[in-house]
Amino acid sequence: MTGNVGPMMGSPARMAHFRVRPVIHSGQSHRQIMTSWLLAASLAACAGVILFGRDALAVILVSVISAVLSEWIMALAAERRVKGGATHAVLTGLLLALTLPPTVPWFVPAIGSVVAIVLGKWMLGGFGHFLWQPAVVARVLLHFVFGQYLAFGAPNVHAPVLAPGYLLIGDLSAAETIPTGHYHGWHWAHAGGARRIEAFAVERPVQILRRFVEGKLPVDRDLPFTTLFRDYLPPWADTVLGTVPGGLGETSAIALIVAGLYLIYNGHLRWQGPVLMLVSAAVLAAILPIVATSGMSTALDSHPSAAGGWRWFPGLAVEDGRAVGLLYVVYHLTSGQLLLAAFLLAGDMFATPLTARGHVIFACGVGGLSMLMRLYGVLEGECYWPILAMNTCVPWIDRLTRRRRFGSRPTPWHKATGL
Amino acid sequence: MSLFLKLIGIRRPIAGGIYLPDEKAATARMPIADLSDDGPLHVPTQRAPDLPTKPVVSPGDTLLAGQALADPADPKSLPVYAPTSGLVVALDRCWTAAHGFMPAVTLVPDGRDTWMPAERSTTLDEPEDWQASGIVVPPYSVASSRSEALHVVLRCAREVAATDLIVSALETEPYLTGDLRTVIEKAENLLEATLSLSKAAGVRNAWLVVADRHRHAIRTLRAIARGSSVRIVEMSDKHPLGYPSLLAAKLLRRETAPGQSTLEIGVLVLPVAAVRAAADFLRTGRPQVARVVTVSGDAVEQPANLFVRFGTPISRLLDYGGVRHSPAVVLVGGPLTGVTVPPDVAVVTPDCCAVIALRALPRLDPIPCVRCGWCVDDCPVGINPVSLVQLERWDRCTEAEKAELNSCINCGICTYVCPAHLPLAETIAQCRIQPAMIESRAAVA
Repeated sequence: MTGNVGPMMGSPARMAHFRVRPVIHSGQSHRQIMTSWLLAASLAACAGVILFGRDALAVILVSVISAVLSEWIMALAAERRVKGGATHAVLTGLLLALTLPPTVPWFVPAIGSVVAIVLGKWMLGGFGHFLWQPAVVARVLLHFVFGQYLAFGAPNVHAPVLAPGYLLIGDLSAAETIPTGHYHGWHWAHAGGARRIEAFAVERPVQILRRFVEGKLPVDRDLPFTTLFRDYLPPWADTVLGTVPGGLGETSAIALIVAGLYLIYNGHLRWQGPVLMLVSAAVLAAILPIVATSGMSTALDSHPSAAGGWRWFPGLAVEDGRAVGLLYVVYHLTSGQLLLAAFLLAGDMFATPLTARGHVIFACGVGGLSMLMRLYGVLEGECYWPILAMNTCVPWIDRLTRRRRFGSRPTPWHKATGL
Repeated sequence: MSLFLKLIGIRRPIAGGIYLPDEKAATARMPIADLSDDGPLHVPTQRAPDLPTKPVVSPGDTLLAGQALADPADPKSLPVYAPTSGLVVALDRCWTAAHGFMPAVTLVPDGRDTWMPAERSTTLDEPEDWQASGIVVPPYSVASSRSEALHVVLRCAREVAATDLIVSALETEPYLTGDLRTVIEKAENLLEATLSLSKAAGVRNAWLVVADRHRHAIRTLRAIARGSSVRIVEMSDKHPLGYPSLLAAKLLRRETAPGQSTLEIGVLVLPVAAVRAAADFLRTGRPQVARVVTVSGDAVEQPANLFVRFGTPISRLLDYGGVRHSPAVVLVGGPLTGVTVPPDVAVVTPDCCAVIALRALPRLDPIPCVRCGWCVDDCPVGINPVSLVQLERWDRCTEAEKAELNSCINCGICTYVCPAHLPLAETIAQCRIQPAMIESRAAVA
């Protein structure tokens, strides 16, 4: 067989058979990613349980169990076992629970989780292919169906929070309503400003901010921000700790920030996401105009022109030599759903762009739209709609932020961004 | 690159790439040992399918070391020499990592290793003078898919008026230390051969690229290279910077188009192994019949750097190293770009830089893409591997997808980093192999 080179000898087909794959692996696994996301979401959930007691725990449990059950049923119905699907269902249920107020009846998280898994996850593409973050899809749909239980939309709606001394063990249904003007912060409620009560209901800070921006809050004409902080909003520390009413995972800024930093440290969340989202929201809050109120009138249906016109750059406001505008911006950042959206909902890998530069665009979009919706919108869930909107843009963002292929001509976009 | 990045001093002519785990400590300080036992050799009589040869020996012949086993069948090809003196037992075939089964000569050494008297032309300034050296340059240096003889490469370099010769001693993958040891032990010879080759190739600049971590080796080289025109360059050993076109881009800011070879932009990239063989040819007139092979991996008891004759069965290298457990995989080359081989029939060939035996393959269970974007971040050529993972057949790909596939350099990073454990690099490689298969079938027909 001298020199007998057979037909297949030396052909690349042989290479195909024996080139298996890179035989080492970085060890990074989807399980690690899911575990750290679950841990981060659990941290926010723990804060919710501490702040809102057993009602919050019930909401979380119902939501998670319902999500896992519907995942199993869908997998059975589809006769398809999806690896990692159940873990993702737990995460989805947990994230959905974080967005709900602790006072909702049990069937709201149950139905919400079913919607998230069946509609948001399975029917809109399936695991790994869905375009919209399923938990957010379910959350905004719940708003239409169970608006009366979520009950954030109407003005002057009071929501409960546990009083000091009753954390974790208190009963939210025993909440006593405190009028906004008489409330001086969470600690005050214990210090004897009110009777010793298990829980109390006050207005959500973000709702007060929205009314203030619309000019519907009776404030002092000369010192509007000072009046706002002194007479209406709880102390800033309350919004950071989370001892204010709201969704059970939304209120505690400190827990959300720690959870986000943990994810960023693990490399499972790109820092560009939350940072740019908060920065863009802060910039818009500082720039965009609010309705300047005309004195101590309760002009509830006043038009901006009638009420004194727009006031631009509220973030630069100075009253009595104090930079109250900055405090106004900080209140915007720490209250409402912004931090939850920034650190846990909008950073979800599945429905976000692939590259870091894509995340920059995505995060700026979510942050900016959230602030626009909060200042001028009418819909509740001002940070959830923008997530869905930007999720929709993800294929476009991915195409826009493609890296330059080695050896190909740089496009103007590549030249501008330096890659 | 933006002005800002230039100002603050960050130079990123290529983005992407990663630092792989090191694993070099086992062999980085071990001198190259000579593996010259007298077991039979199965010397392939053809370097590559594109380099045809005519065998000139028959069973029963007694050969001297350096005697031709096969003569080139066309001027672009190159002869194959007997690695040692001995008796030809049979003409059969052996397994090579790159090309599967190849025709081979089974040679039983007589143990004396008697060499032919050296007969080479006195000067080596012309490319054709190097044909007798038997040195073959691996793929990617000249054309993207085929090996070439050294004299063809040098002739090519003259024809395109190449300006730069880069000798790459970068070993970016774990376990590989052969080039590092060669640089440390044969520094003078390497520099001498680099100069000689640059003269033959007609280039102006000669560079020797060494990983910046090996400061001791760099100091030694700089001391020796003082006064010589070979420039010693430190470069980070980020995988896959050793790849020729990336090296040219990083060092000279010249980019190749996808599928283009570095010679077309006037850069000749040679691996250290080829230059070492050239140095031996320069000093002794003996052709290349052996090369440095790192034997390592967690299944090997005594890792070593060995100087091994071509045709030595891989199993004998593993016997030398002492395999502790039955290895799950034996591969030739680095763990990311290497090729798995059957160790009992595979032999050492000129492109076999390492033999690595690993105790276990990673346990991977793929799930749908989690869109982490890490493969896109780390891809050295800026393609989007995950968008290509669902492709199956070359002829069903769009033009854009084909362009992406053609840009891929098979570095294996995307599979390495993927947390969803998707077979990204394998899919791309499969898609790319198909047109080659179609061509080779057409050629056979």
